[in-house]
Amino acid sequence: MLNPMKLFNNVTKWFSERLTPKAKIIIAIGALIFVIIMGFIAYKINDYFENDPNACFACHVHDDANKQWAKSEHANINCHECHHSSKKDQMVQMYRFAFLGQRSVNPRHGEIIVPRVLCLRCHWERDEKFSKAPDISKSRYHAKHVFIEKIECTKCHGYRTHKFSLEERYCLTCHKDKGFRPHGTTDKPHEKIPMGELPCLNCHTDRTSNLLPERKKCLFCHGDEKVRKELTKDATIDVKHFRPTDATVKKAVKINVPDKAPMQFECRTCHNPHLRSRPDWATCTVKCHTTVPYTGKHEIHLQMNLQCKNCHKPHSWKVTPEQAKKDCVTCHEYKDPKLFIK
Amino acid sequence: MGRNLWMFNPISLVKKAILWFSQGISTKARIVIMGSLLLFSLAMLFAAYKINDYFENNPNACFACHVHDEANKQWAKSEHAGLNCHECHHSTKKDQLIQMYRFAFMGQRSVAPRHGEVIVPRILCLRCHWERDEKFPKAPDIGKSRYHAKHVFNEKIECTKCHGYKTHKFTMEERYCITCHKNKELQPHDTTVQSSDAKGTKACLPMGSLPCFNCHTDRTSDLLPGRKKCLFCHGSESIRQELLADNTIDVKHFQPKQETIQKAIKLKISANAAMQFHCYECHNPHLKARPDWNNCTIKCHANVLNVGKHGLHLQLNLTCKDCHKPHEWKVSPEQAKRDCITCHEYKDPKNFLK
Repeated sequence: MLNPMKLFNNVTKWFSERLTPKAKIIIAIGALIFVIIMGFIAYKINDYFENDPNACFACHVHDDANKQWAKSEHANINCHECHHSSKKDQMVQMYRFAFLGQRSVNPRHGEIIVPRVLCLRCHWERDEKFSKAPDISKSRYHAKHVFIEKIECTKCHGYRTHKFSLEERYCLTCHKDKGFRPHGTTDKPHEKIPMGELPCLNCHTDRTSNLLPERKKCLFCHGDEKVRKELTKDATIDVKHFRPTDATVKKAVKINVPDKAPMQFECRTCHNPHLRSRPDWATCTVKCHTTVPYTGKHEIHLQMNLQCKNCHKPHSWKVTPEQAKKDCVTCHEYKDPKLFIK
Repeated sequence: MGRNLWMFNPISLVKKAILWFSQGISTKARIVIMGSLLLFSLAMLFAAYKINDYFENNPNACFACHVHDEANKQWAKSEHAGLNCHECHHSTKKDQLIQMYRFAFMGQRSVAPRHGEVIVPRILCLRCHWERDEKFPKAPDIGKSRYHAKHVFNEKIECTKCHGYKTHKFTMEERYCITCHKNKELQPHDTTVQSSDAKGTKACLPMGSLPCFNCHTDRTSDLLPGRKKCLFCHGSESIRQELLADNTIDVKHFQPKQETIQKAIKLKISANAAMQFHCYECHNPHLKARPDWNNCTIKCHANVLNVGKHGLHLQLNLTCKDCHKPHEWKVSPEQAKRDCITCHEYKDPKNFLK
């Protein structure tokens, strides 16, 4: 019977008594080289399984996922950077494979849905290995969704395997009631709202703490080239990844707001493109300018069924003597606008 | 070459011991020896576990060397009194072994400053206070706090900057914000309005020494006080109850004192009063005690001078508030019957604008 103790004894005896010193040295060096080579191979095998996507692909034959990954922003990152499996998990898998004949794995044996803590390692805390990973810390979108609401990164960035950029109107998945009605139901039924199919982040901006578009963001499309240049330079997520297309910018009505025009507050005070294509002129005297119907000659003009905008041109608002000479004279002789409110 | 038989040879010692154990003693003796050896190693294991547990999890182990009485006392009465030192002051096993080696073999009796993480990195705080740790499920969650979204997430300011600047005192002082927001300090002795009166004493801003969070709230995305937050002091008990029920950090930890509330002027705003927007549109307690009435016709109501009888009344040196009572604004017929008749006979306020 094979007795390992005895065998070992015989080998040592043979090595120490039967060999010449020269043979001993050769065998010792040979053994040393053998050990080093084995160590190197073991390192390489481990490195292959840990760090080479090809090792993963041997079993994980999900062609679409692989192709998407290869052309994604994460193409030069190994599977295991995001799809972590602990050494223990790996050993259990290997044991099952080798000794229990298990040929499939439980779903999510690693973290197939990558937990945010792994994303944050590079994209919030900085990882020296991936120093160019975009930093989400300055993003107010992420402050709201990641920090305050604790929404997992993959909810928005991984809902389609390895496609990390969101679709333009993906926000509607959660913000269901905020969907534009391309065929407005609240204004004139079946009339198309002009901004009805725009990407959410064409308007909603990372520049404001409540993520609502401020004047400048509206003027990105409705203003001049100067505003576009300024915002593009700031490179917030909304203009970097969801920049309105040239066609959108071209279509947008360009508005001219004179420096001295009154009421230069947020556009949304009057406009709500989620509901209507144009502000409702009836709300002017209901929501804010409630005393205007009694002021000066307003009453008599409103009785003639004139609307606010017939005299007050949107965005410049003030009726200048020049305008009065042009417009008022269509009904009566010219009078100084200042006397209108006396 | 003779053999040095008298030299100590561990291999032959082991050989002899095995020989003695297998041939020199009775079976009974062998069992006794084996049993006691087993007991001995179990006892050693237990002792090792206890020693490790003591050094890892018992603050007394730390206190043996870290004789910082003030820090210890503060910790014992702090919110973190139930936590062990090492939960926050992490030192890796490697660090610990190096320290122990230096202590035992190199005679080093002091440690390099911050051999562990004496200034606790935010990642350790976030483990319990943002991600939830099952061991400490009651740790307050900063996830819903807009203060923290701004300062921790956006600005990446270390937690200890605000919560640990005095050792083991985790609650900030009331006006600690001013450490960074230097230019936002309320001037209790106002320098921007009247730098000094005739006697040379400085005018005092009424809200000049309030805690920052008495006004700045966790309720709004820009952290500016919304109407309701102003009305916490300047409004009725029902608003106070509502805000207290919401339990945001500002009313939980920095609730205005009874005395502050009592001092605050109480406003009555009827439901249909005009201009019910944010108080800060007109008021800026950082700069002035009261809004500047000149601003009304410059900033917003530029036309009013030309409207109806306003021009005439302004020429008589009346200011806006003489007729428009703050927060109510609209001149009602009742008020007109009372106020206008001090100068002239009653006229319908509606005709004032004609």
